[in-house]
Amino acid sequence: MDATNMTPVTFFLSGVYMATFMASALIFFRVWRKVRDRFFWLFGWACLVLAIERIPLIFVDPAIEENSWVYIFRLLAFILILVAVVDTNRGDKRGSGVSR
Amino acid sequence: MRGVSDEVWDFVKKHIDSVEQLEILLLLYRDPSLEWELSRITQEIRTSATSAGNRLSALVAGGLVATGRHGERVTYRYAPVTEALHGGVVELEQQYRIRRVRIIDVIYAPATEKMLNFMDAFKIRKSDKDE
Amino acid sequence: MAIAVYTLCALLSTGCAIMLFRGYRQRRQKLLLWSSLCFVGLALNNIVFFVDVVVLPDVNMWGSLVRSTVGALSGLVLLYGFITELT
Repeated sequence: MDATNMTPVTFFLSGVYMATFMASALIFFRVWRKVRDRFFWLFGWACLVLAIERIPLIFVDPAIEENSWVYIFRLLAFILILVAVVDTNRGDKRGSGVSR
Repeated sequence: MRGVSDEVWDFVKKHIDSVEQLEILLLLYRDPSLEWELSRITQEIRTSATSAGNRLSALVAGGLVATGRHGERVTYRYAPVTEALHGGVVELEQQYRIRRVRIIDVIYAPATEKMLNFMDAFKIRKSDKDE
Repeated sequence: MAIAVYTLCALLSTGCAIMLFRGYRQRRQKLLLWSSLCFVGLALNNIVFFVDVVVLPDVNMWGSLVRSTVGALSGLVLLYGFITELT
């Protein structure tokens, strides 16, 4: 299926999106290495998945019904964020979590 | 937990934002009677003049270093405005001598603290934390 | 199904944005502001998709252009926040 909705500009911007989220993912992983709280590991992976979502989007147009499976990446990324938020709240209540 | 005394921590948090700045301060502190020109400082610390200039401005603004003029030349010397500041430098210098890496960690800790604040923002039940 | 996912993502994004903005109001730390704006952008990204595909199903170029722009801005804003606040 032709990616008819994608112009060179949108391809470019998609690349910007991917690069910046990949860089942010690396920063989150850096922080995780230092602080060792899985909150940052999860956010790092969320950013990475958001970045990776761009790749299939080069080839398919998600506006077309049959291609809407691409959303699975986005969903995964936000599930990771949700897990991170829930996990950090539960850890706090139990009193465990990162000691500063 | 921090590895250094609260006084050192607070002093660094208020006055030192890079290792370069610390080394400039300690260079001047070594002999308070000496006045240094920017070019000499740049040579000793092996940094760029612009960078050193910025650090010195910050140190002057923080009340640790004083400037002087000799005709055309601008000089800098160690001149803390209060005893407390001087005490802070003395202790910091001692700590830097015996635990250099720890002090460097303290200088760059704000970055980690900011990320920890990022994480705290997602906590729904706020616990009372001392700032 | 896709609609449900985009709606969920929009809601979660908004939630994150609100939490981070609240944190910014409390601690006045710029990193929280930038990351909050990033999540606002991500929420908008999902909302625009919803509008583009569900509400206005006729194919137009503007939808994907707006989405791409907002998405890129979100990424840039977050990275900007990291670089200026952490280095």
